[in-house]
Amino acid sequence: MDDLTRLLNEGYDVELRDGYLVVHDVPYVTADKTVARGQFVMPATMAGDILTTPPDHTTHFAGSEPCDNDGRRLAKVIHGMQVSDLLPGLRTNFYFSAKPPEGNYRNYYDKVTIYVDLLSRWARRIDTRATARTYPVHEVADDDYPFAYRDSSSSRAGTTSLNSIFRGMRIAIVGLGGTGSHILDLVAKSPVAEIHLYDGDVFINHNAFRAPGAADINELRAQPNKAEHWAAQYSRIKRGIIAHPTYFEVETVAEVAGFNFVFLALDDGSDRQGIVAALEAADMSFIDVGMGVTDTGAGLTGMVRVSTSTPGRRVPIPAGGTAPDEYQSNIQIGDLNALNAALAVLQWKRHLGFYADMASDMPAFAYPVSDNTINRLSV
Amino acid sequence: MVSTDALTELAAANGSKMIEVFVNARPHLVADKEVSFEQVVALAFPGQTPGADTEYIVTYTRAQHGNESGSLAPGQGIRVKKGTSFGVQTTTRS
Repeated sequence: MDDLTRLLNEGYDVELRDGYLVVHDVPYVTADKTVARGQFVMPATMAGDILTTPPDHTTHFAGSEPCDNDGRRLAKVIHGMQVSDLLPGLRTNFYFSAKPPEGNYRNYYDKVTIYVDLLSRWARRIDTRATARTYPVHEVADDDYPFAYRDSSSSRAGTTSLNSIFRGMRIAIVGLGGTGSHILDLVAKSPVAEIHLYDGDVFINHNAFRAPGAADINELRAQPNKAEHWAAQYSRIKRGIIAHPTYFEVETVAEVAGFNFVFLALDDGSDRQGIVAALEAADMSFIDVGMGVTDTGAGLTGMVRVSTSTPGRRVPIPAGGTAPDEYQSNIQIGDLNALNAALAVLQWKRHLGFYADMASDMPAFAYPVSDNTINRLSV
Repeated sequence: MVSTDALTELAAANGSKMIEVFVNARPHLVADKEVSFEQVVALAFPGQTPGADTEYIVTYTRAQHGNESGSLAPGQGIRVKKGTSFGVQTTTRS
């Protein structure tokens, strides 16, 4: 893990700006024995986009003269007053020289954490909560970045390089009901390039009880289109979400031809068989999900199904047909929607190689709720 | 739910060798060791004709040795034992 990522992961408010490493929000003690916040500015030596070894042991500091908890200046740290305008809008006031025994710091992580501690240890005597590890949340300015703010989850977990699998991908989610919205919830947290949402329906009360998150009553009153509602919700974290407030028909398949993957979370009443045939004809990879729930009289049971269809291996997708109304149950439960979605997204990531796969191929499977097993479906 | 013990006793009283299986968590007695896709659908929705173009998914668990769990396609059957459990649904909602 590179030093900048390590510092960010540990909560330091660091940024690279025009060739300098800037450390914000560093607590220190002023001459009048109060805790203030200052900034370090030091030249950043880079190899590509990776910090390497600091050129020397010094740093510039923006703030007043740092002191110990008794208000005595930190003579061993401060080299002298020196006003510099290394970066526009960020004037530094002091030049520090705290030389480690070995002559220089081994890396930027050591340099930053040691300098922070040289100042902050005195601040903690006055305020025990004083820390430079503020876990700041910044908007990411880079337009190519797939998220609205930094994905520290992947960098903390060390899965950032594995995430490159998703780069540049264009995904469609067809149907934004209980299951489709949960699919979005998971796909939106992977760094794909674009997520296209298709649904012509409106988002109303009962949808809110099967969907991720918690809808505001005013959002419900506005009766937004589902695709637009979810695009707005998830654009808070993910860039590149595009709403198509229209029902997905056979003709719509042409719009997604060339996409990397399609999630079909359709409901009864849609032309599932026609859409599937068109996706197959367009050589698309897709996953179709679906569930059915019935009341046994002593608790509910049901089934969630995941069918993964790729050009190399097509699977039959079941149709709802025209069973009489008494066969049709409209029961759907949020946790089953979420499970169906999670199993679908997991299969997609398995298909991509994100997950190690030791299992035999499972083109289609179902989870019968009352039996609590995963059953392979014959294809 | 109908007591399974009551059903089993009834079967024993009739002198038949009925096998107790479950369909969507409800107990049923079947006469044959082999149960078909169509039988399971009929047991799930008794007294009603399923839509001809409706595609049900039928799963089984705890079937005879060697067929522990899996699914049935139309026309297929599976050898059952006491306690074999079937699930039947149209999995087309989301």
